[in-house]
Amino acid sequence: MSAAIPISGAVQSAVAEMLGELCAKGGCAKLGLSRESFAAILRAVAAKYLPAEASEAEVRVFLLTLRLDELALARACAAGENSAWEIFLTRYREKLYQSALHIAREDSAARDLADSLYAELYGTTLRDGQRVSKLASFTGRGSLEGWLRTVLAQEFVNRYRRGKRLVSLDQEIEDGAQFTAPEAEPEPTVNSRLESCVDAALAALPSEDRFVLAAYYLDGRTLAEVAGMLGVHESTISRKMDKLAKSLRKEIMASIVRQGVDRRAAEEALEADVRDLRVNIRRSLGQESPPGAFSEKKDAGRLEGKIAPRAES
Amino acid sequence: MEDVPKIVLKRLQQTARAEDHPDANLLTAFAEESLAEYERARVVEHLAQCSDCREVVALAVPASESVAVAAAAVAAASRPSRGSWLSWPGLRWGVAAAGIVAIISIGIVQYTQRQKSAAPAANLMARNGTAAPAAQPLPSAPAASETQIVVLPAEKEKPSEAQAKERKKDLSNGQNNLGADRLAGSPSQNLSAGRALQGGRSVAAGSAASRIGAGAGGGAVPKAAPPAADSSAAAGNLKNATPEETAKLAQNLNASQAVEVSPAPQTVVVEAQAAPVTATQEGPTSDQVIENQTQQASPYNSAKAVGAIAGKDLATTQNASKLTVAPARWSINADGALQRSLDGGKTWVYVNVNSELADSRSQAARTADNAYENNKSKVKAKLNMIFRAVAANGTEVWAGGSATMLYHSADSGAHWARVLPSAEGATLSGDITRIEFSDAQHGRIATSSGEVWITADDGQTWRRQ
Repeated sequence: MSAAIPISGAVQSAVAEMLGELCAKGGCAKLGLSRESFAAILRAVAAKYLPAEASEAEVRVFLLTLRLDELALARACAAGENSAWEIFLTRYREKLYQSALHIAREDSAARDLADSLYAELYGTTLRDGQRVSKLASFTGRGSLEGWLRTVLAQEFVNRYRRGKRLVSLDQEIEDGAQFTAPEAEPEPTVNSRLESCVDAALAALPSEDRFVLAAYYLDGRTLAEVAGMLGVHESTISRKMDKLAKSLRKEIMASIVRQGVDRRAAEEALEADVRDLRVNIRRSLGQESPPGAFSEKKDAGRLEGKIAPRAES
Repeated sequence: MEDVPKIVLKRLQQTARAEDHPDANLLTAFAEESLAEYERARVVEHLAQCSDCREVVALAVPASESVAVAAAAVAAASRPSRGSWLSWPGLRWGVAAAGIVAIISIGIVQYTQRQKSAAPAANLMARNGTAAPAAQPLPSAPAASETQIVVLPAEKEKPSEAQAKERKKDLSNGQNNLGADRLAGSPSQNLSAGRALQGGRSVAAGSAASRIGAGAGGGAVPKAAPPAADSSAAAGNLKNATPEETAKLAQNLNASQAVEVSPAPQTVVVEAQAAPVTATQEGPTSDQVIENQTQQASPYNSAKAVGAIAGKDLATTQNASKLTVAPARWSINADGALQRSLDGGKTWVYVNVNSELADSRSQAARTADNAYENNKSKVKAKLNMIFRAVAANGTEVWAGGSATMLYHSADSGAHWARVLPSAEGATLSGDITRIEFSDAQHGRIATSSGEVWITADDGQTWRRQ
């Protein structure tokens, strides 16, 4: 891995200079990770993420923002250190399963998902007779727990897609042709000019806005979920979405009209099929009540029940 | 929300291009907001186009971290069921406050020296039929109120003109400090307003006014003030009632209205306000937080304060009634460290379950760099104690985690004791994965080894299920 990426002088000297400190922070000694191997890991990580022209100061800051302890732990595990594995298992075994359950939402699938990740973490793949653990690809950019969740999610998405493909194939075979394509959506009759206007308007948006739009409208995420992905409050996303929808429409209309298309025709084209979209939006909005809402209500009921008799007595 | 034209979504979808997916490290760092700006821009750009990666990020968002955030309602519900030393004064104060509010909300308090300066008497008129000795309706009284009570000065000795005037002024101004002033002046304070009315007799009417100010605080007095002002004329119509009658009426009223009316909406409000002891952690936020309480703004301190106050006199307790404590919320962060928030979750502070850990933590904090200081996991890594579950019920907190580690605090985390459930020669084993306490006494602990331990006495004894 490290061989593939050239390591700049800035990275070399920064790692060399800070190695003692970094090793202490990572707890390398306890984990059985030698200074040399940790240095090699740090160099590889820095070279991977930093632009080649990064100054030494930048490298230093970068190194300090890494999750050094978790990086050291993961890499020590990857190297097969037993003490590191023990720590890893006590810390993450249960969490891993819980995360898998959160992702798969079903016990046996979750167990399956977690088990397969465990196998990868232990390193079942043999490469040149060597065990390669997935933990060797952890770079300490985020938390180890978050990374484990992400890896689980990736695995889940991969499987889910595979599964979906299989199901549709089965359906095709069992149910015959009429079920294969559930009524191809009527193509909205749009002229290419409108299309290019829309493309331009979308391209002009900041990528985060497009991300929000896509997550909400295409993926059917709820506002709360989108907010969770970006680490902002739900109301922020709600406001943003509202503003975005308005400005986008205005922008597109303006550019169509600029191109000499009749305003009314443009509006009609733009409004095509808006109805079934509304249904989608309503559905996604309908999911928004958090699952905890009911338990809270129960608690509130209990509260009233306890206070009322007291007031009477 | 405004709809986005479908064509827009269609094009949005079609801009998706095949591209190298960011690796799990970058996606994690994106979700945890620890990417440099240029990296984040790249990841977001990719996410805008790649539904798979969007799904990965969405799935990898941790389940709500507030597993054990003790909902205010739960704690509030469980709190009153605890020791009688808490609930008894709380109840008493609830009733006292209820009485006061019932009187205020339905009545008019007024002093007048114009009518009977020579023979001050307390007149009380109840208009809603049950007790009405001086049964003329009050012309200028607000029609909305069901019951009207007019209390005239009832001191045995004649009040001086000036005194009465001053009192009137105070009342009609409806100042908050009225109560406190008056209280300081009247030594024979009973905790219960009802008793004050009952036993105080002639004193009762006089001090009732001050009690009203005292007990009900800022909220109630302004309500009473306008009627008091415009009912000076109304009071002119009141005649004949003797102090004895008044006292009796007050008694009646106390019995029939003040106490039994307590389920009235106002009562509930004031009960919460005036009885912080019953809901120690859950006092409604008010701007009248006493300063020294703010300084030591930790629930256990406040709880202690409340405990101390509970037995003291009216004035002190009245202070306590203004005391508000932000509900303590508990959680465990991604690294298994126990955290507490006293401001409803805005800021979280690590909590140590023993002092040795406190030392090592502060050391870790000292030696940490600025950049690394934010990296909270660092701190915990040294401790090698991973919490997995926390449950809180008022000031009762239970936290557990790796290798049978179970700690209990009865004072919102000020002091901790390690607990190892055992029964019939068996002890709890494995990691603690779940802690549930339905109330302060009854709890349930599940472990990674599949054991379930139950207590029905706040952890004194355990039973394995």
